Formats: sequence, C-alpha cells, structure tokens
Amino acid sequence: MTSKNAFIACHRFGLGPHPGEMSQAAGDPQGWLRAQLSGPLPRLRTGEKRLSAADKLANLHLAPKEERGDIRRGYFDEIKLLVDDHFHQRQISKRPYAERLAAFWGNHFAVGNNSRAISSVITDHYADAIRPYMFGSFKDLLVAALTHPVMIGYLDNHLSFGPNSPLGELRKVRMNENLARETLELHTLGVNGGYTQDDVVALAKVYTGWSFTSPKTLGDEARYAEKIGGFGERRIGGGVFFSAYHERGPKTVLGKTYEEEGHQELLKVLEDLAAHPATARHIATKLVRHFVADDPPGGAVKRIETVFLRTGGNLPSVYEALIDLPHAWQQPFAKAKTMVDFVTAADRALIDYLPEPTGRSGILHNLGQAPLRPPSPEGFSDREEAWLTAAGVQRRLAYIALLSRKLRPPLLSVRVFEDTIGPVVSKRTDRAVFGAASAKDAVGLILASPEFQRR
Amino acid sequence: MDRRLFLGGAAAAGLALPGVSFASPNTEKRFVLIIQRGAQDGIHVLPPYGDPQYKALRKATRIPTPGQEGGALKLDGLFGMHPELGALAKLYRQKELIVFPAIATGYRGRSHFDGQNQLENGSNRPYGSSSGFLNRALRAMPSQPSGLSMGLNYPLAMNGKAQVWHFAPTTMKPPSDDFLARVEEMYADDPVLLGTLDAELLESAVSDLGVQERNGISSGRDLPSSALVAGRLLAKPDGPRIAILSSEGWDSHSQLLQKSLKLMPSLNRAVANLQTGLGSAWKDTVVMTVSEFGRTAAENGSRGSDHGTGGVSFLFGGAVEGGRIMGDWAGLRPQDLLDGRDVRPTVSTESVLKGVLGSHLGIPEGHLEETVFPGSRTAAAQTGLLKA
Repeated sequence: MTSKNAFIACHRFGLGPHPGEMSQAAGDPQGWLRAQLSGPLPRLRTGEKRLSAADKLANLHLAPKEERGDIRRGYFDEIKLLVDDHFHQRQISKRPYAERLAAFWGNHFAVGNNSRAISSVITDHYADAIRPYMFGSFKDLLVAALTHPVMIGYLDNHLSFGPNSPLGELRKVRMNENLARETLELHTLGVNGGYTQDDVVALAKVYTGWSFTSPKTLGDEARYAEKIGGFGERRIGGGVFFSAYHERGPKTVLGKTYEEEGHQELLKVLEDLAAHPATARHIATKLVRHFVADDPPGGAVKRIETVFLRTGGNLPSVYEALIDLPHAWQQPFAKAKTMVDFVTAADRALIDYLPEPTGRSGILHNLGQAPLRPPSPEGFSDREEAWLTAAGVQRRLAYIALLSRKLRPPLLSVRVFEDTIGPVVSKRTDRAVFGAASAKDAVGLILASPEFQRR
Repeated sequence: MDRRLFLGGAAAAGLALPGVSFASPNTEKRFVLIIQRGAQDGIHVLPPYGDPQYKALRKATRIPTPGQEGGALKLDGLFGMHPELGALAKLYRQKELIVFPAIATGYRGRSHFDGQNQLENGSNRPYGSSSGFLNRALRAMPSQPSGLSMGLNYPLAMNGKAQVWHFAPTTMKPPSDDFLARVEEMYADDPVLLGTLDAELLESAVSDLGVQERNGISSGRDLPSSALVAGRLLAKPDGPRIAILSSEGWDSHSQLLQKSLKLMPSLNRAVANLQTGLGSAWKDTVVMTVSEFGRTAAENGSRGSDHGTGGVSFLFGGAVEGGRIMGDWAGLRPQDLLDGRDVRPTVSTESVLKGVLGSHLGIPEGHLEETVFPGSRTAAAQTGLLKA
C-alpha cells in the first residue's frame, strides 16, 4: 500500500506532487512529511528589503499629502510581487506540507481587503505574522497574528477606544467589539467555547489602544498629547499600542481578573486563551477537518487536542501528530481540493510544461477563491459542498481548458499520469485518459479526474 | 461568451433537465428569500423617528425626520423608511409590503456564522442539519418544483436533494463537448462530481447584460442584476419557484452612513428589478428579506453598531396583504431593550417563513413542522400575511 500512502502524502498533506515526488515519498511517506517540518519557510521576496506594516503605515501618513499617492502605489507594487512569489513558492516548494500549514493558518487568521486603511499593507500579515511564527508555539502565533496592524484594521480595533481611557476622559468615545468577539469565536475558544457577552466586552476593553499610525492617531496626538501627558505610543512586536486609547482599570475575562497593565494585559489574556482546553479542541477540530475529513472523526480530534495541550501548543508537535493519525491514511479521496489547492496542484504537476505561475489571483477570482478576499473573518470553507458545486466544477473544467492551451510540447502525458494519480487510478479514469484524442486532452482529463480533484 | 445555467444541488445526479421531468404541473406561486449577510442595522433601515430615544442613540448616524432634507420616508407616526429605499416605501403605499420592525430568528448568540447557519439549516440550532430549509421546502411542495441559487457561492439554505438551478455566468471559455463527454464518463462513480455536470445553455436571461453585470452576479456583488435575472427565470412557466439571493456587506461596525451609500441603493434597485424581471408573475410572488440577527440600538464609537438581536425584515410582493407594520415595538429606553442593548424582538422569523411557505406555497403543516423547520414548533405559522 505504499503507493496509496505516497498519493495521500503528496495530495492530502501536500500541494499535489511534482514529477517524481511520489516515488520519492513512497519509501517512507510519514518520514517524508516529517522532514518538511524543519525550520521556517523561506521568506516571500519582493525584490528589496521590506519594512514592517507598522513602519509602512507610519511612513505613509507622516509623509506630505502630495507624496502619499506614490508611496501607496509603491506598497501596492510590493503586494503584487509578494502574491506572485507566493504562488511561485507553492509551485516549486520541496516542503509542500509546510506550505499547506502556512496556508491553513493564513485562513484561520483570515484577513480581507475590505478596508482602505490596511489594503496597502494587506499581504504583510501573511508574510510577517503567519509564516515566521508557524513553527513556534500557538501562543506566539496568536499574538503575532492578532496584534498585527492588518488584523487590527480588518476587524475594526483601530476604531475602538476606551471610554475611561486618558483620551476618553477628554472626549466621548466608544468601543468596537468586533476583534474581541472574533478572537474568542474564531481564533481561540470556538463558538461553543464557553464565553459570554460580558467576556467579549471585557476583552474589547483589553484590546483598546492596539492600533496603527493613521491620520486619526496623528490628529489626536497633535490635539491631546500635551493635555494627557503624552500619547504613549509603542511598538510591541509587529503591533502598535497607544496608551492614550487604553481603557483604565482591571478587566475580567473568563472569570479571571487582569489588573491594569497597558499592553501587557492583552499578551496575558492571549496566553491564557492559547492554553485553554476549548482552544485546543477548536484548533484540533479545524486541523483534522483540513487534513482528514469534512466531519472530523472524534478519535482523531481527541489525539490532536491531547498533543496540543500536553506540549503547551507546540505547533511542530501538533503537525507531527497529524501525520501519525491512522485516520488520515485510510480514505484516499475523503477531501475535495479547494480551488487554490487545485490550481497549485496543476502548477506542480505541469511544472515542466508551464510558464511561471503569474496571474493566479485573477484566475482564483474567477474560480471563487480570490486571495485576500475571504467571504468573512471565518475564512474560506474547508468543506466539500463549498467547492464541488455545479458552477465551481464547471469553472475548474474551464480552467483546465485554459491551462491546456498554454502547455509547451512535447507533452509526456503518460509521465504526468504516473506522477500524479497513477497509483490510485480507477478503471474509468484510466480508460478515459488513455482513450483521449491528444496528449493535451489526456493531461486535461488527468487534472479533471476525481482522483486529482480530491485528496 | 457562453452563458451557462447550471443544475446543481448536492445530488442532482440523474435528474432530467427542467421542462422535461415534471410529474405534476408547475405551480404559479413563487417565493424569493433575500439574505442580508452580516446583520442589517434595522434602526438605520427603518428609523423609528417617533421614538423619543432615537435621537440620543444615533447621534452620528441619525436619519433626519420625515419632511426634512434627506429625511426618512414616512410610513406612520413612529417609523420611516431609509430615504434611499423608495421602491420599498412605494410598495408599502401600494399595500404590497409588510414591515417587521423587531424580528429575530430563534438564534440568541452573536456569531454571524452560527446565526446564518441556524437561519439557513432551519433546524433551530447551528449546524443542526447539513441541508437547507429552502431545499427541503421544494421537496415538500406538491408540484416539487426546482429552486434557484444565484452566484458562485452556494448557500446552505438551498443545499440538499431537490433540483436547483445554480446560476453563475462566466466569461471563461468552456471545454469542448467531446472533452466534457469524457469527463462525464469519468465521473460516473462519483455522484457529487457527476451531479455538477448537468448543464443547459440559457441565453435569454442574461443576453442584455454586460460582462460587468454577469461577473457581478457570479461574485455575488451585484444584487440588482442578480435580482433581475432571478425574476426572469422565476417568470418562466417551467422555471424555478423558490429563489435565494445573498446580499453581502451588512456588518456595519463602522462608517454606517458610508456603507449605506452603496447598500441601500443596491437593495432598492434589487427590489425594483425583481419586480421588472417577474413581470406578470409578480402577482403570485412573495419576497422576504432576512438577516442572521439585528444590531445594537445604540451606535458604537466608530459610527456603526455592534451585533444585536431584533432587526428588520420586509415581506413584499403581489401576493402580500401589505401596507402594514406587524409586531409590537418595545421601545428604546434602556429598560425596554434586550440585555440593555438590543432591540427586543417581538416576531419570529421562522413564524413568518412558515406562514409564507404554508399558505403561499401550499406546504402541508405536517411537512412544515417535521421536515422544513424541525425543532421550532413553538414558533407557530403566522397567519394573515397574504391576500385572500
């Protein structure tokens, strides 16, 4: 059964095999996956040294008005380079399991392009707050992902001010609960994780002050800093904290009271949330759904949850435990590939025949999974019914037709077949591929096959 | 430039094309559900200008009193309609619109995702069913008509075994017929994939729309165009009879007034377009707008509002006995509000839906309670919504 397991390793855990990848994995599929977990993924390149999102936003808004258009355009050029490099890395990566995990966390901490305030730095979240932290502890990843200016802006925390903050005492201000609620519901405990509306409000208080430099913070600073004895701006990791906006007094979240301690409050609450059993359950459920089955088997969730708790959320241990789940190696076609993973799998399978993968954003927009445009803060769905819809599959087929026209001959369709679905292929698929009228059609049918569409 | 109409649903495999397979004649009755995702701010859409608390709660986002410049469109002494919703105000005057100023589903949490899931799965709890209540309603209707889902994202409410037209036009060039035939052969043992392939070309519904509109229908970002095409498809004698339209972007935690500049005209045009598309079928149609929950009575610190409970629904169409505002208004004083912050709901969304699906679409009570809305027996079907 090594061939089936190589298929599962490359398709289910990976991004779809390169030529020869399945034979490489076949000897020890689990070991092949484990070896991919060593150390951080390559940084996404943009051609020059990049500033952090916090610095970029500060530079943008401190610049004279007439220069801001150019600065902003520069940032957007950087985003384009970064997105292209992202798809390039996915195509060439020899550590596809690690890339899948990075994408998983990117979707768990989904951010979207809905706000002008952060749209010019949107990709920095994935590049700076997700990828560099995915091989550490969940707690560090959580802090990096949630305090990053892009997440702050996406979920409105830059618009939340403590009514009893230094600034609130001079001017009537209000809070915004959005980031606090999603932190509890989506990023940590999960919706049935046992929190109440009071916890949401208390956490919103804890969050006040986490923001980024904007025309509003600069205006407030100019107007009020002297009156309240300084604005208290400081950089904490990739995030920016302004004590002038921070709600005073102790806050009680999930029954525990946190004394007033400025930016430290959030770091302490997130540490406790990261260690909460409901968080372990929630993250384990999502990981098992992602790598095993839409309806995650309880036994598999329990195993991952246990490892998560026992290791204090040590992510590499959790990733190894996923590889070791017997459930993951039983049903070779239990999951459907999402649009983005289908597109990448095709890029990898046809790497010898295709130009560099540019313009994938536009394609994915047509396919219904545009990067940086998740339907909600919950991210893209991980369930089959979201992807194998009538319109969705028809578009996959249309994309295959488009891709087939770009393939550079000579095309060795038999090699593509052996290198992608050969080991697990059904009689029907075998017959269709080998009955195809041309090599291009044969490759198209390989990509369209249930074996390739699923994993 | 093919404009394809896709048949879908999780298990449409083996079903024949529309117009071929109906055992009993297609009903004339039609129902359209417009889901406003993200939780519409009821107080903004339907300003209770006559409530003494309104001004104080909505300082930055208040809509002027009827009669003033940019004022609400007066419905009665208490409520006005958002000034950009002229089409709805007109339907109210024509007695084809019922307003529910304080309505909510059975969901009492504040999660968008759970709230939408509960609304759409119809089991009275989040994730209680993997099929949707509209799909089950199609199967419970005597003539078992098709459903219609607009846009690339397929909503849970339409998920299930009944036949559904999945309309998402694309400018991507489809593969050759020969290639498709081979794919179909390959999918014979995979019912999910096979079910996605039944397709029929349909030119007339979108032939006058440009690329932008067609892409807008697919992406779900052009509600007015979706409504126009949905109306035309529903109007066809052998067309679908229940349609769902999703409208995104109602989660107004900030900048409510700015967001309304797009949302309100879009909703307004969608209402008018639906009527145009339906033509003479309008008289047999009921449309309902719903959101997963309402928003806080007070605005927040960023000129928006946070997640709440009671919200606003509109029920309209040629078959609606309209010109009425239904349900009590508990008021906006702190002691009137639910938990001191939300509009107190006085009408159940499920009750209204049951009333429509039962009286209008002819679904027997037993089916309504047991298969379409299992678990919400306490929300009795609302009567008296439709013209006699």
